[in-house]
Amino acid sequence: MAKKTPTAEAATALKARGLTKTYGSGEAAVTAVDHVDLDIPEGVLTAVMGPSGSGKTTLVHLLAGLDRADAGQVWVGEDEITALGDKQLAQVRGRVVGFVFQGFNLLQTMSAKDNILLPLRLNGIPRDDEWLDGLIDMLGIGKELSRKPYEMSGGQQQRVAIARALITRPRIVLADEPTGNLDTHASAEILAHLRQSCRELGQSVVMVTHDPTAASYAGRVLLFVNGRVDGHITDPTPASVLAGLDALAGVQR
Amino acid sequence: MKWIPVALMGVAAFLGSLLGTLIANPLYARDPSSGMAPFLFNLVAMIVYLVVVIAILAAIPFAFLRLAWVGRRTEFATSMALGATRSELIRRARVEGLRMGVFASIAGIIAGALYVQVGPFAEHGWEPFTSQGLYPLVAVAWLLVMAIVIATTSAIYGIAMSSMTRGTPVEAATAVVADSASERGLGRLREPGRGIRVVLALFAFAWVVMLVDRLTNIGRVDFDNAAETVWLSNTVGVLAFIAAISAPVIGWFVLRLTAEALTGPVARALRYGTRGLGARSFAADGLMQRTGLRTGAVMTMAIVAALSTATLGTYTLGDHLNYTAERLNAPVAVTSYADGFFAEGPNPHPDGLEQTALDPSLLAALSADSRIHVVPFARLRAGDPYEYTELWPDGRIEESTRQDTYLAVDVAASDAVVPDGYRLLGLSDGTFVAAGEGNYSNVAVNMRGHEIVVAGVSEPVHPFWSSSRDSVVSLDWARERFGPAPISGALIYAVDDTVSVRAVVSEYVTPGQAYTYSHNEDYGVVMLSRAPLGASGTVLLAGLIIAVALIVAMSTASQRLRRREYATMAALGATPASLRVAPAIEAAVTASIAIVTGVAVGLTYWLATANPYLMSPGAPIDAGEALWHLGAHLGLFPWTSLAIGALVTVASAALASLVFGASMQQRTPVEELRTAMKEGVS
Repeated sequence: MAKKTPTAEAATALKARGLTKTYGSGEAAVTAVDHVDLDIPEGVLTAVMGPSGSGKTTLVHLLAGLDRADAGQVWVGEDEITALGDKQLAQVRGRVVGFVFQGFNLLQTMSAKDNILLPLRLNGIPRDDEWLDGLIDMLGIGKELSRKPYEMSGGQQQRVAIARALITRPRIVLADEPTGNLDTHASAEILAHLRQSCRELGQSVVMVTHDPTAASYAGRVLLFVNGRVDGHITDPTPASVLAGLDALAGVQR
Repeated sequence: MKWIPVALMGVAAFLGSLLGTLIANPLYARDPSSGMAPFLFNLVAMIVYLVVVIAILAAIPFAFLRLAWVGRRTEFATSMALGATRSELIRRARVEGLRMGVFASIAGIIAGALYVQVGPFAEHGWEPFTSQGLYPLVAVAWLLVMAIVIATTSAIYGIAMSSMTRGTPVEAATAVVADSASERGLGRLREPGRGIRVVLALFAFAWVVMLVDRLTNIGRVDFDNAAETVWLSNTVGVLAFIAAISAPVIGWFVLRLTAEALTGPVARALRYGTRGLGARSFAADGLMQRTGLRTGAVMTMAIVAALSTATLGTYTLGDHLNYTAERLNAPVAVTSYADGFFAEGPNPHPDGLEQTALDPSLLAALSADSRIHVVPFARLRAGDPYEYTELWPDGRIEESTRQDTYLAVDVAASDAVVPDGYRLLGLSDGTFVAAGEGNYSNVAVNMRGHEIVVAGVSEPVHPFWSSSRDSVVSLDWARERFGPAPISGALIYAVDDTVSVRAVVSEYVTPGQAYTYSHNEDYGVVMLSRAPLGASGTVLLAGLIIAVALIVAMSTASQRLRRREYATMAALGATPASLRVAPAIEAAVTASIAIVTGVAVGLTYWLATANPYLMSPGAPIDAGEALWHLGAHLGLFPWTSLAIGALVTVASAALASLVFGASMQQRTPVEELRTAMKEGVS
């Protein structure tokens, strides 16, 4: 069973302590996430920024319970997911966390609509047509619903992947470059929606991004380098984010 | 897995080498009939049959090769993206196939040649070198086998590469092409192109000719007017060959359409009643994903199932017919006449049914003895006497004058020996069980269009060959056609092995009352050697091994292709248990569909070709007999063996998938996604 955290920390949506992940062994070992401690508050859009290879993607994979940490713990709300068995972990992935993959990972044999509805089917969650229609309108994918992923552009696939992550109304959304393939206008629309979700629905969003403008939509930016959190920016602007990134450049191995 | 196709071609070379080497016999064997003419005849026959057989069997290594290359798809696509042309990749694959073919053929030929020398013939003991200078010529056969195997292997590699690099580099890498290629394939089936239309037309024409031949016997060779009829016979023979070699092509399409038609409903049935997405739903989704790879593997497995079923039926029926014929070969015959089947003798008789009756009191006494079965018969002599020259194994040459002699047997009485035995061998009104020179009969049989001529009146009869040692017609039919006749003899059988028929008969037959014949065990008896496992067992085992290997390879490849999909579903909340079980269900269902389809086609083919009243040219058209044989053959088919084989295949498929699936589920979704990316799975 999941271990419970103290009540005082209940306002934290996601928490990690001593989180570590190393790839390879011996001299070839690379520590992608190195004893990371972090707290993601509820109802906040958090951006994770850092240079390429800094371990951002590995971090969000570990936070979402998609990968196994070598050491450390992760709590989603009050549940320590690093202590969960396969079945309970699957429930967390299906009902509590929504994930947007960098490579979308849409199922090629399913239509866009079936891809969006997949988490509901997997987890036996009833479909909310109003919510579905709202997502489709917001993401502008009404015309793509019957198309297969390989018939869509990268941007269209990304919107479908975002819709799929949001369809179950998860408490936490983790997104790896969710606007990487979108134009400026579409990015702005989606980021505004994510921020709105955080504020109005108490949803927590953690997104990995390279785009300072996208990061400026966040309530907080975590600066990540060499597998560690090297600082954060509250109420960021594109300029403050760029400055933070410039400072990281000197730190990277 | 990449070595399996090479190993299979090596096995083909081994079998080819066996054939090639046997043309001249083992070095120590003595064969008086050996000579250049039979050698050349056998060589040509070997080439013709080997080319066809290897071409058909090449589908199996082809399927394995495609499965083995699944993980190399990105490599091929990247090569294309970097400037390599598709034709260059295909050429390289052909060269690789050429190398593998050389390797497989040399290994196989050496193994085959050695096996002939030390294998099943070793039991005959070593004799001095007696081969009559033919042995060096066997090298010709070996070279031909080598050429065929190398060409086939190279072609397999080339075609496999061609099928895997269809489309643009991106399409080739993402396997989208596999789906669309499969769709194109189905489109081809529904709207056949010119090539397929030609094959279909040829096939239809050949079968129409065979049907006409079946109904009218146009292809028969009349021994008296051979020059006039032989061309027709040859033409029909060539068309029959065309029909035979085009049958696999048609069979392929039939199998494929059937398998495709079954998959949809089965997948829907599998999904029926499931809430959410569980193992059954995942399996159903997998089944609905049509890929060239899956289609190829399923088709190959269906072909293996069809061939195994047809061969199993053929061997089992053959064994049973041989057993039946052997049981009906009476150890002793008691007759009213003394001249056997020789036309000249101390007591010459006219054509037609023998009119000298066997002493009724003797017949009654023998029939009353519970230690023996008595089958009364009347002898039938027909046709003109002819000179007969016989070469005995010890070198003696014997000349005599003979006349066709049949036994008109009381079929109902013979049912006590083997129930429906003669009927199973094909006997009915207007047919006869043909044996050529037998124990108590002798007939110079025309293969097709045989006639029994009595006193200038000819009665057409259709011969059915068997290992029976006597040519037998029905007594009732013979009396109806050739007039009344008494019982002129009786075939005597022991009730069980403890009874000496000769001793029992000697208790009743007094000198001068009747003549007693017993067949000479040293004469005319052919003992068929059988493999320890039995022919049908060997066939089943071989089919089973191939089917299991195929299904395991296919399941593994299928799961590798769906690795990303499964990982994504795991990331979205699918339970590990359902993802573990789904591939097993999918593999089991796929194997079941392939087996059901293959067995249905194989069984249909066997039932049609084995039935003496369906496709035998010149046989009486008798729906009742055809249906009776259909039922009898279905009853003889080894259903239990087939069911065991099918269950083992399906269980192996499920187990292999379960093991592979479990190994996949031990890793995290991200690890699986990473592996999928490495393997180029989209």
